[in-house]
Amino acid sequence: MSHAHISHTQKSRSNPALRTLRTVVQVVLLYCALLAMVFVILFPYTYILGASFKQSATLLSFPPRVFPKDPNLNNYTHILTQLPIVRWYANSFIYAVGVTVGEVVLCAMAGYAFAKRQFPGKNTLFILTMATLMIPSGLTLFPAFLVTRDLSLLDTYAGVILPGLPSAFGLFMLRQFIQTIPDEMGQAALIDGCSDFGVFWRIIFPISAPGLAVLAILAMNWSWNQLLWPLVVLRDKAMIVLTVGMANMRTEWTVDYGVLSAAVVLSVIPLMIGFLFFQRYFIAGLTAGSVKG
Amino acid sequence: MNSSQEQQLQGRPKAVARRGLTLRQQGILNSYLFIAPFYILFFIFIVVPFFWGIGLSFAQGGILSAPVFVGFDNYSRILQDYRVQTVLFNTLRYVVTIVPTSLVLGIIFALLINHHWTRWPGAMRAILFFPALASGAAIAQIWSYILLPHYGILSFALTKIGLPDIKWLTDPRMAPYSVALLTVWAGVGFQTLVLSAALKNIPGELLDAARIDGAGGYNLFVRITLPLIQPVVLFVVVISTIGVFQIFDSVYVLTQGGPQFSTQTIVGLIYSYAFQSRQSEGLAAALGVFLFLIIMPVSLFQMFFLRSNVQY
Repeated sequence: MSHAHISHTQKSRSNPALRTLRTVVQVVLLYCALLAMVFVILFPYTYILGASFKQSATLLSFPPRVFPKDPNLNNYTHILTQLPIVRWYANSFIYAVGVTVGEVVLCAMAGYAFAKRQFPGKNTLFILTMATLMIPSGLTLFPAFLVTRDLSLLDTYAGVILPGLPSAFGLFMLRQFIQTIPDEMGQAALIDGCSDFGVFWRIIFPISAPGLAVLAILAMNWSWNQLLWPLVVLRDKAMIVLTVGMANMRTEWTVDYGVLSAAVVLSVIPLMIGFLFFQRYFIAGLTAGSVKG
Repeated sequence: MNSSQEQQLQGRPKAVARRGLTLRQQGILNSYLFIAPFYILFFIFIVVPFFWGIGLSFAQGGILSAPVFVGFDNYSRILQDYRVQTVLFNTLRYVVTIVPTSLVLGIIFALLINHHWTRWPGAMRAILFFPALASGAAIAQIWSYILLPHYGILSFALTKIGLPDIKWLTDPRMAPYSVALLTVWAGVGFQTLVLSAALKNIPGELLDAARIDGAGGYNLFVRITLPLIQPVVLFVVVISTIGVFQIFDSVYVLTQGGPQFSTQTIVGLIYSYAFQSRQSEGLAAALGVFLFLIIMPVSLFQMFFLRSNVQY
């Protein structure tokens, strides 16, 4: 891909051997660049995976090693037995599932109303809701904490989950998706005697499955990895989630990189597994969701 | 309810409205019931905090005592606070390092992946996506081990080629760049995916025609490819700028804003005002409003873009 590409190919047209050589060099360069790219992206993960199997004594060895000399599971047994990581895991799981299910159902219901139904104030309400996407979480963080405290929801699952449900972005996304469903499907069901809620639950909700899946994965990824809100709402050691636990490991205790690495590996594994199965939805969701405020 | 409407309803017994409402009124009521769960929570956790936050920015107290109105006092205090000035400077430094670096890397990676000789582009995209799966907390832990001075693999590699042993996280001159490094690593995959999708949408005939007309790789890129993906480039720049303004997780875990405040972010300072210092709730609120005003132009731009360009 050089400036002189064309002139060279014109010259080399007379010399097939030179042309082949040029192509070979270009392919080699391209693959070197690709290899460098994959290396830069994957190396930190590989390194931390290796570290999670190292002995405490060899963690700070010199020269540093990528793969441990005598791999063992000590770090994993340590965090599973000495730390409340199972509890953190369970809390993260409850939090992520709660946010995901709640956000998808609420946004689908509201999205259906905005996409397919008529009611006074619809457009104004929608535009105002979209305008709130501009509000940074830094502005609402402290007052939202006060609201949660005044509702006695600190240190509860509800206190972490409920504020995550009304996502203006999720509403926008599902409204767009439901708008593409033909009106006739709902009308046919109405004529067959289905109630409004029947139409939503039996027709719209199942047909929207691909859109729901994208939002679900976005919500799952966001809530599993979220640090700031749980950090603010959860003070009770028994209630904290994995991200907060990991942050505390670094800020409160003596840093043991082996144990930290094992915790990192365990925290990333669920999303990695999900990613392998639902790659398409992950990419669609996180690409769309990068605009989530 | 008049008689003609009643007659209409009699033909559809299933749909006859309860509570004496007409069919139309029942339909509207149902619409409100559909949006009610969303909007009840939306009101409690977004609308109320938004106005409460603005109100608190003109008050003192809040957590323990009842707030007292102090006018623009908080605003003048934050504008004079050296910490706010430092944080704004830090943010500016993050923007000018992180945004261009990840954009250029993203374009290079996207060109590599989309090259017609590249095999398994799908697998490449999947790999690039991996950093986006880790939480900010996890990313900070990963890099804290890599960036250790002397024992860390990066310092080891750099000293091997004759460079000095850099204290990545404890030297205030280096720490901001370490944060920039891991932010780029975490975000470049997403940027690559978006840019690579844009490159795929460029009609092949257009590139072929330009090639036949004698355009080389560089000209082809600058004159054809770049102008065609320009809206997406703009989008990526806007998104990553908004993201940089709101960095918190990785810095909180990695450096707690230190050393000497060199890595602290706006949200980090809001958190520390609100939860780690006494009687600074009003300052936290004022800084929140300030953040809102700074990123509003960027967000407005993004919203109009979002309205016209959402794809699945």
